[in-house]
Amino acid sequence: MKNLKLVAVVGVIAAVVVLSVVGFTATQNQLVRREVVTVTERVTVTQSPAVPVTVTTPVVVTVTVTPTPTPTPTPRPTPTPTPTPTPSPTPTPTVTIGPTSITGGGATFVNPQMQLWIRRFMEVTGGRTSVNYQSIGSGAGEAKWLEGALDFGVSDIGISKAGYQKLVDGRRRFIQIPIIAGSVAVIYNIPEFARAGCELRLSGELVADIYLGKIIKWNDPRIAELQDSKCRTYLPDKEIYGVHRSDGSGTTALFTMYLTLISKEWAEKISYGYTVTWPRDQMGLGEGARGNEGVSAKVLNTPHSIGYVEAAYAIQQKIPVAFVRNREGRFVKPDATTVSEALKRAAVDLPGPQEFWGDLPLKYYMNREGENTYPIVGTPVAFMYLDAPRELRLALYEFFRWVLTEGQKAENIVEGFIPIPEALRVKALQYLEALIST
Amino acid sequence: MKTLLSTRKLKSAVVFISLLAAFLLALLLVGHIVATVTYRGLAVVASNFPRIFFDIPAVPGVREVGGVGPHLLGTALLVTIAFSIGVPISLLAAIFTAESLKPWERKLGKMTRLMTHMLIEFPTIVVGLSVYGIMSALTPYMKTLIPGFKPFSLLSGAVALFLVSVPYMYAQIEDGLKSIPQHVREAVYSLGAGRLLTSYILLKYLKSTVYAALSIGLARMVSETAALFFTAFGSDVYPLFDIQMLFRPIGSLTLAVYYFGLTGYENWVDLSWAASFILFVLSLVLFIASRLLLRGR
Amino acid sequence: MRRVSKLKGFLDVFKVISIINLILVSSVVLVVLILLITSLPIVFRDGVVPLTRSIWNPVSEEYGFLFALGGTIVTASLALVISLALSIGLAVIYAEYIPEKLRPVVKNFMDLAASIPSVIYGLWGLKVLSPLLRSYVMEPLVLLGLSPYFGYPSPTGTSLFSAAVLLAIMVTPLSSSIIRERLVSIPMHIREALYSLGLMKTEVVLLELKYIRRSILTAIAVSYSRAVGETAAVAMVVGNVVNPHFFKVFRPGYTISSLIADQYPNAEAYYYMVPALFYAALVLFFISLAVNFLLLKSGERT
Repeated sequence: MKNLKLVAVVGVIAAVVVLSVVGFTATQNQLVRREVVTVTERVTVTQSPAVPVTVTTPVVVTVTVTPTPTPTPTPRPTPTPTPTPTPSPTPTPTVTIGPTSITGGGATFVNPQMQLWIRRFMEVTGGRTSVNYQSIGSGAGEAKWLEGALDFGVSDIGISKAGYQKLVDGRRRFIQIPIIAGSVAVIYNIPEFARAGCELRLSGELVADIYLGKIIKWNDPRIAELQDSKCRTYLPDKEIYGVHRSDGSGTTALFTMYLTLISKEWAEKISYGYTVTWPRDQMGLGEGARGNEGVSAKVLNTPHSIGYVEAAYAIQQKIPVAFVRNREGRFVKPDATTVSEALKRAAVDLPGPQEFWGDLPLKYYMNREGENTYPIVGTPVAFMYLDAPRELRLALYEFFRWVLTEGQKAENIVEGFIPIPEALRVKALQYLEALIST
Repeated sequence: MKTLLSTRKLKSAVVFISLLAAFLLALLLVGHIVATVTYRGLAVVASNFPRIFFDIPAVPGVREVGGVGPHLLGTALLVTIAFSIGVPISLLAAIFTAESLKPWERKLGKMTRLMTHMLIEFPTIVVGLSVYGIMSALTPYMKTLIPGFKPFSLLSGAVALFLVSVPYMYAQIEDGLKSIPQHVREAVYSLGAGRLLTSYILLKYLKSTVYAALSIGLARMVSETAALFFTAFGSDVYPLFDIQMLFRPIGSLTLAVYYFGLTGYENWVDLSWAASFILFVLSLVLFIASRLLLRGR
Repeated sequence: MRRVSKLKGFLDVFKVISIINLILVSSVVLVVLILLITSLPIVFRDGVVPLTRSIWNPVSEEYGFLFALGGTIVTASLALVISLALSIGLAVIYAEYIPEKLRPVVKNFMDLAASIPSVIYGLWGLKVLSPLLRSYVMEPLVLLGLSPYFGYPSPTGTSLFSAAVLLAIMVTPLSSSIIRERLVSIPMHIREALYSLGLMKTEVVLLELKYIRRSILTAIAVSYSRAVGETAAVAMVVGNVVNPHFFKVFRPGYTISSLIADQYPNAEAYYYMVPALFYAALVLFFISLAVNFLLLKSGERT
């Protein structure tokens, strides 16, 4: 018996030790290239907003910006991509950075894409900079970043008013950049329509009135008049069941922002936010569900229901998506083209990186002009401090620069996600430069 | 008389059948959990056998699942640290409470008992949030000593785990010490031992209770999720191994089960099952170890 | 006392150890204080109003967590009833009917079940139990016309009822072990006395259960604490919907801990949501203390 006990104790201890050792070697394997790396920043002669930077690593990964010609109004000198280190006219500030770890957190929506970026980025840089992102939610991402617990935060709709006020009061210097496109798809389940091969068309006003409880049934004349003439008769005499997100989410924030923009009554009664109250619930004609998967499951299983999910999720799960009328009166669905169309127009008048971005989708992204633009769009926003230690800023710069260049290429995008359009990307890269120019 | 007997018999049969039904249902349900976890998890673990223990999770939406290496390592580190804080503290606190004599000692002892019992009544997520609150309040001061100090860290996670498990360890050890017959205690004292030495001898006498208490505490630490949300924070990549590791976020198996289980991506849900299975095996190992220790008394 | 005299001249290590107890006590006090301080803004603003209404509207900063409080109490009580039935069945069959040889198997199995992490229960509840309950329990009952009382289940089956069943399964191993140990340790002479009255075995069992009612109360107290405080598993199956009609258990709802887990991620974008959540936790804490106190008191009296 005594032996057995000894064996057990030794076993447990050995297990812990072996685990730690194995884990350690595994990471050692992954972090072969942990040597100190020299980052050389070359500043070009002209005061161009986009500074080409060559990051020389032992693996010789030279990340260089190649800004393709874009319709940005600001005249920018085209920087020459230089893969080989050429002597530069200005003295080169040289900083050495060792292994750094960056901690970020926030929006749940970007998490799959973020994890892919992190893996690829760490493969490319040999794990020298380790990036950790956890989907703790937009609000928590913002709050924990404000409290200094995170190195960068990501929010679906930008820093809130309360948070922005704190930053201004504390005289903090920071930047915000869009990192990927987001959009909300309206999904529905009308068996009669599906059988007839019809697709639903809606307008923002209609969606608002449905969720306000002003339109009760699917065969409401206001819905019918938007449909294709041969589809009208298939609209059933059934009550609409309105499904929405129950957990606080950026998707709800974007969706309600759009309704606020479109419908005066919505703006007065409900307004927008991560969580709002839904009038249809009180009428017994709607209910909430947790997460995108909860909403889509509920819509797919409840005939005559309507709901909204992240477009990335709807595209990837192939859920029937409604056409939404845009500003020009055209009916469009969210996809790579229509979402980019909408966002690229916003690049022109995108506010500066230190402005208040909390209503960015409302003011700049949503319901933009153009025949082929989808109206319910936004961009998850990453934010970081400019007064952080230099080493951290360099690491952040390296990561987000990769995200905005290599990260936006098709091979580094998760299915269903949409990269931000070129114009916005270039603008974001400009904003990012502030991280190393101070 | 005969009818009376038969109604008694009927009643007896009904009671027996309902008891048996409850027994079988309970066994069935618990068996179902064990079977599901083994079935869903073992398949994933077996098909990715050695890699699942070392790799980082794969990207979403692909075939392969990757692994839960960082989470396994995180759980090991968190539990090791929390356990090494928790054991001496709960032992000493229990000794203090059980052997207190002076009025102020008794008062403090009673207080400790009450307070730790109150700790059980909080949802663990609240305990985690409080630890986060304390740590972030400390951050500005600690930063002058340790530049890398952050409230999301291995240290915070370990403290949260400690707080979650200490009431269980403490209460059981203290109960054990109190249950020792007074004459045994007197006998030890009469050998000329002080209170601390006496307690030590008594604890040796109580070995099995102590082991049981510690294994319960260990099991709580391994299985805790909600307290880690805003303390250990979680990490899907390996931390950098250097001196500041203690102050950086770290992953945990339970967090992996929670976060990956709630996503819509199939390979991440699979990973969640695999993590559950590994957790299950871990708690099985702990359970068997504690049983062996108990048998060895 | 003799022990005191023995202590004289002995270096008082206990003063040093008392620091540890002080640390423990103060850390708990700190937790309560943090809870109190954080919830102060909403207490000052709304007083006890949040306790009495079911509204969760961050846009207008209006909060009332009656729905979550109700959901917590409904799920916990339902779970207690179910788990009591299950654990009494388990304990009695174990102590009275099972052959000696099978006992260790059942015992170890249930003790093992008690050590399974709750998040695993949650995953199982989400993927297996909820759909199962929906198609085999809730829908048949709804077909019987009970939906006005229980509500209509959601498509995924996540509901207050699923959460209650899951909680019941989670606490059963623990509470059954408490009852079991007590049942096994009933003195032989009492048992023999009962049999000598000419009672049948089940009648003896029922009397025995009455005899150990204090342990059953302890089991209830322990189960209640766990059921009320459980976060991760419940958040996965309870459905997370603001449901003012929390007595309709087939509908999804909220418990306080799942409300915290679900809303906290975006709570800090608002001024009063975090205080509201902490206030809810504080109220729950006082309710738990009261319940515990009552159970223990009634246990002492019997």
